[in-house]
Amino acid sequence: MSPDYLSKYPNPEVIRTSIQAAVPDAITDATQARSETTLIVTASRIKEVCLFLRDDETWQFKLLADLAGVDWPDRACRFDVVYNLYSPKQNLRLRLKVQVSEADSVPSVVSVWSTANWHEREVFDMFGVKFEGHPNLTRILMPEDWEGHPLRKDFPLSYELPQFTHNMSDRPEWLEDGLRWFGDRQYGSGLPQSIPRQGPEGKPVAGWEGRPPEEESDNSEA
Amino acid sequence: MELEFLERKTGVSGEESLMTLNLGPQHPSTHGVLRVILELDGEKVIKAEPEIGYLHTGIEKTIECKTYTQAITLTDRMDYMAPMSNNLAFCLSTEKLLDLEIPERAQVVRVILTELTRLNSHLVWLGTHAIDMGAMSMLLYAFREREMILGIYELVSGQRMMSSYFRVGGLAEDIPPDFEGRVKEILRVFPSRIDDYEGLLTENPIWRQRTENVGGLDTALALDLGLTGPALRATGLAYDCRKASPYSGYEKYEFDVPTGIKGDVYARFQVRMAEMRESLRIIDQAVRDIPGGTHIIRKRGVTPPPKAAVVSEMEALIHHFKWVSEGFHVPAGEAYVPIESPKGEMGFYIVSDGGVQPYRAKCRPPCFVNLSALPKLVEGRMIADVVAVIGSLDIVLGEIDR
Repeated sequence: MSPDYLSKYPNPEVIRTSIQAAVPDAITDATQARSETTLIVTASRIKEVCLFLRDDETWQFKLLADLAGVDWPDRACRFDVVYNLYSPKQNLRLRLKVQVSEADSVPSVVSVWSTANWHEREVFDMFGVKFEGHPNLTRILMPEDWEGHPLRKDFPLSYELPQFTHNMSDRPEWLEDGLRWFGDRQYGSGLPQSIPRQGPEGKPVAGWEGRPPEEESDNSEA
Repeated sequence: MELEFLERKTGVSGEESLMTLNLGPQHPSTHGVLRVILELDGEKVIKAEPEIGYLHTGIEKTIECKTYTQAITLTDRMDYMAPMSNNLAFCLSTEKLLDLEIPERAQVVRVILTELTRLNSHLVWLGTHAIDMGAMSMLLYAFREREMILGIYELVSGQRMMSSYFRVGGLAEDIPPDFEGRVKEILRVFPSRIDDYEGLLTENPIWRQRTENVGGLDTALALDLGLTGPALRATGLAYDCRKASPYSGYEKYEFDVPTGIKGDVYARFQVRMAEMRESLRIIDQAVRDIPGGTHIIRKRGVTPPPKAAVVSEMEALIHHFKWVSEGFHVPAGEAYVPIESPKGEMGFYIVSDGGVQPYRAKCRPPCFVNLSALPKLVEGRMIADVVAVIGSLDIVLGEIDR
């Protein structure tokens, strides 16, 4: 798959300089990997950067294609909020990334692109990231009274909390464990474990106990 | 008498009182379990609020604990009218992370099958959209032709709907010998059938009255609302991922990107009808000369060894066992490859941590985004138009809720 016929991304330094002129000190990092350009934006400045990218004559990123959340539980700024932009005029894509901790909030970009409304609600629903200035920041996929945020890495994967049951006496012990686990965020006390996974530096992610991570198997080359 | 009751009950005089009405969740014209809370003034929609989540099954969460190969089966179940497109989107992002070169034969078969998927999806859209508007017979014709495409799905994968036929690196199995013949049969039959559909609807005065100047919008608003696919192209902007960022060798085929002008329900209908003909054009070029070679790249650690080797060589057996039980490691990083699914731009933003499972796989869901535009399209219009607009957005709730 040669990168020359896949989606095109702007040169990271060029777009960084361009944004720097209009919104100073908003971009903390600009990288390009696998031909995809990613800009790391300071959380408080994201709306200004988005407004600039949308309205600038050269760039014209008129379409917010997607808005995703990623959870890195052992990082201080736990969540990535990823904005996937597209400029129909330039036929360019761009990825913006904002890092935010559990307590902080991100300025909403609904006033920049209306489509962000549902996307931000979904990220709020799935990760608990709060968007400041969102007109209606409520759950969108999960029930309104749901507790927890399903796509967080410490949300139990293998088991769903019963929302209602008559069989209080029949509940198995591990389920009680599960409820405690859920309420107090105590990791791995009796819940069926899923396969452990590695964090970004090859360390196991906090809260994913169980089988130790395996050695990197050397089967990449024939 | 009813009016008096309402006035007593609400304290508002009859002319001013608004009525709240649930369209769905169990309503045939919502194409799944979609609930739209409508605030009505007579028959006029004052406010529309879609309620989704009834089909939420946590596919993105589940993918995080599946290997890349297992995850492909989950993508089928998102937009179940276009399983092959979902498979392709997932495979392309993973292949970008792995930096794989896909064999020519697999590329061409992928193009044929995803274009058949577009026909499949558009046929279901056409049938259900028409039956929503009272054109009953359309559904029967559309499903009759769809059967031929499902037959091809079954031929290649053994499944009529949840095909899971694409794999990271190529295809699950080589195409059977009569594949070409069956595809050519479709190419022979379909053009006249599409003429028939157009004969039934395109100039039909009832159809035009129900669809023309309904739910229209301009390009700027469509982009602001995030619309992609036929809904965006109906406004006049020819944004098609197959042209904007060709994948799977789409740059080799000649085809046009149909566009509309008004962006209304009728324009979306015309764009999709034209797209079906363009899909046939692409399939015609692709099926003429399907290149030989392997159907999947043979790369140790990423794809399984050939079956013949597994039953005769120890090393291959071990490798196969490891591939099935453990999966394959994908280098750490992130990738997003947009494709043009029948509904619009679709892609998987995959974050890998170097393990055998995706750390995060976020789908760019075209139906989800297109549905979020519904309030803007129907507010201020009649309630009958809501059904027309929902039909023209071509939504599949399985993908919206994931």
